[in-house]
Amino acid sequence: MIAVAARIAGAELRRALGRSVLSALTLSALMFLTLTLAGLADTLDRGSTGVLRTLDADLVIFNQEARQQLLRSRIPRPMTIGLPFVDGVHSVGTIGLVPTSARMPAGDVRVTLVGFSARTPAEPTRVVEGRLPVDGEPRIAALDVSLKAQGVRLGDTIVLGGDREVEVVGFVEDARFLQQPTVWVPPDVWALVRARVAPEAGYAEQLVGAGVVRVFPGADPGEVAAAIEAELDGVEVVTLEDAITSIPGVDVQRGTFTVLVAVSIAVVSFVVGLLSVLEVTERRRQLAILRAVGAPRRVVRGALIARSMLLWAVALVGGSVATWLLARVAPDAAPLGLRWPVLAVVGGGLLVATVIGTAVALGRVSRIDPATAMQVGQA
Amino acid sequence: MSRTGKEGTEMATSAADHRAEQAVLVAEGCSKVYGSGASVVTALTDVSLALARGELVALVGPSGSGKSTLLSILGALLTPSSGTVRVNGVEVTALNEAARTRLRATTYGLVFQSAGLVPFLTARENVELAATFAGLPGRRAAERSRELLGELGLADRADHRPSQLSGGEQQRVALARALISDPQVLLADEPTAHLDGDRGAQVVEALAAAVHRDGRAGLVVTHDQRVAERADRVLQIVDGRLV
Repeated sequence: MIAVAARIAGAELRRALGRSVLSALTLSALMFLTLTLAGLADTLDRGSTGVLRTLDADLVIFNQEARQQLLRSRIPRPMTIGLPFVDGVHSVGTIGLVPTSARMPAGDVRVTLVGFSARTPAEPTRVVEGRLPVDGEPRIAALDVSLKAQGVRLGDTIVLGGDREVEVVGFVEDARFLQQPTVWVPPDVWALVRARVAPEAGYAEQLVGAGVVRVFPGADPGEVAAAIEAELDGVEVVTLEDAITSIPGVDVQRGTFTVLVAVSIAVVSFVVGLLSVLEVTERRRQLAILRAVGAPRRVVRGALIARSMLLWAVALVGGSVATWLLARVAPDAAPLGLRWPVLAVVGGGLLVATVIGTAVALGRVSRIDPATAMQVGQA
Repeated sequence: MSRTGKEGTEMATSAADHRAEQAVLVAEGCSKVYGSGASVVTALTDVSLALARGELVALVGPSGSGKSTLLSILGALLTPSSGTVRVNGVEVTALNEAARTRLRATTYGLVFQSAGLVPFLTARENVELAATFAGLPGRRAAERSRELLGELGLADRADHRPSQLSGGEQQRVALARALISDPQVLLADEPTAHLDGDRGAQVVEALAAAVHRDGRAGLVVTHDQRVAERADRVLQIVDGRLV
C-alpha cells in the first residue's frame, strides 16, 4: 500500500504540473531563504572560529585577566612546562594571536598572526598544501589557503608587520579568526612581530598567548581543567568549545542565526500545512469517493505524505541550487557557502517541518467520512 | 418487470421467499436517526429488504426521503442506528471501519452520482487503483481493467484522463472501477443524473448487464425512468419508509 500511495503522489506531481510547480516553487523559495541563512551562519561561524576548531585540543588556558579572549591573553611559556605531569594531561602547546598586516603580491592584507608551538596540540590540523613551520625556523610561515586569492604561492616571500620577511611553506584551511585569514609562525616570530605592532607590550620571548591542552582519552576535561587551575596561579582553564564561544560575537551570531533559521523552518512547516489542508479541502469529495470504493485510510494518508515528501525533495534541490548559485556571485563582504553537513542538517530540519505541516492535514484526511460520497453532486 | 404492492399477495410472498433464499444482501429493521434531543431527525425507519443474485432493484423516492441514507447503510458506508445488514451472511453492521473498508473494496461495487475519478490518473489507472484496494495482483488488475474498459466501449479511451472524457465516459469508467473486484453487490446512486439521453442510456445498459449477466445483486437509486424500466423491481421510499 505504501507503493500505491507513492504511485498516486508521483502521478499527481507529474500530471497536475501547474499546481505541482507552484507548490514546488513556493517551497523552493522558502528553502532557499532557509539555506541562505544557514549557509551565512555557517560561513560566518567558521570564519570566526577556525583558528581554535583546527586545533586537536580539549582545553585552553588563559590568564585570568584576559576573560577568555585570545587576543588579550598572555601567559609565561615556562608556566606550561610542568603541565604534562598533571593527571589526565596528554600534551601541551602554546598559541598566541596578534592582528597585523601582511604584504602579498596583490598588496597589503590584514591578517591575524598566530604563533604556535609545533608538534603540540597547538598545531593546525587541516594542512592542505606544503607543511607547517617548526620551532627554530624564524623566517617560515604557513598561510590560510584563502590568501591564495592575493596571488601568494608556495615558496613566495611575504612581509609581516611591516618588516619581517617570511617564506611561505604551506597552506592551511578553515583556520580563520574573526573573519580574517591567519598566518601561522613559530612563537618567537610571533613575539617579534607583536613587539613591532604593539610596542607598548614590549618584546618578551618567554610570553605566549594561551596554553592548549589535549587530555588522555577517557579523562574528564572538566576535572583536568580543575587540576590545572589548582596547579597554576592566575589562570582560567576552559574547554575548547567554551573558548570558541568566547570569541567576540560568536555566541550572539549563533543565537541570532539559529532564531532566523528556526523561524524560516517554522514558516516552511506552516506553508506545507496550508498547502496540504487546501489540497485536502479541495479534494474532499474525491477522497470521500476513494474511501468509499475501498481505499484504506492509510493509502489516502500515505498519498498525502508521499506528495509532501516528493515536494520536499524537489524544493530542497531547487533551494540548494539557488543557494549555491548565490554563493558563487555573493561579494566577499557577505561570505556565503553551503557545505554538505549544513545541507544535511537543515534539510533534515526542513523534512521534519514538512512532516509536521503535513500532519495537520492528515487529521482532516482521517475525518473524511466515506458516506459523504453519497451526497456528492446532489442538489 | 415485477412491482411490490398490495396486489397479488400470494405471488408476492412467494417471490419474497425466493429472494430471501437467493439473497446476497439482506437488511432487517434498519433505522437511522441523526442528532439528539430536540434536533433529532429520523432519516430511515425500520427498513427491511433483500437483494438476490442477478436482480436489479430500482429505489425511487422524492428528495430527502432517505434514498442515499439507505444506500449508504447497505453499502457499508454508514452504520444504522438500529437494525442489521448482512452480506453473504456476514453482519456488515458489526464490522469495524477497517473491515468495512475491506468489504467495500472486495464485495461491493459502488457508483456515485459524480464519477469521482482521480483527475491526474488515466481511466485505466483509475480502474487499476481500485483493483489494488481489492488486493488484485498487478498483472491480473491490468488484464481485467483492459477487459472491462473494452466491454464498456472505452478501449480507445483507456489512456485518457477524466478531463479528456465526456460525462458518460467518466461514469462508465466509474462503473468499470466498481466492477474490477468482481463484486457480488453493485450499488449505484443516481448514476445517470448528470448525463444526457444517449449517454445515460449507455450507462443504464452497462449497469443492467453487469447485474443480469454476471449474477450480481444490484440496487440503483434513481429518478430516471429508463433505469426503473430496466429494473426487476422498483422500491419506493417516502419519509424514510419503504412503501
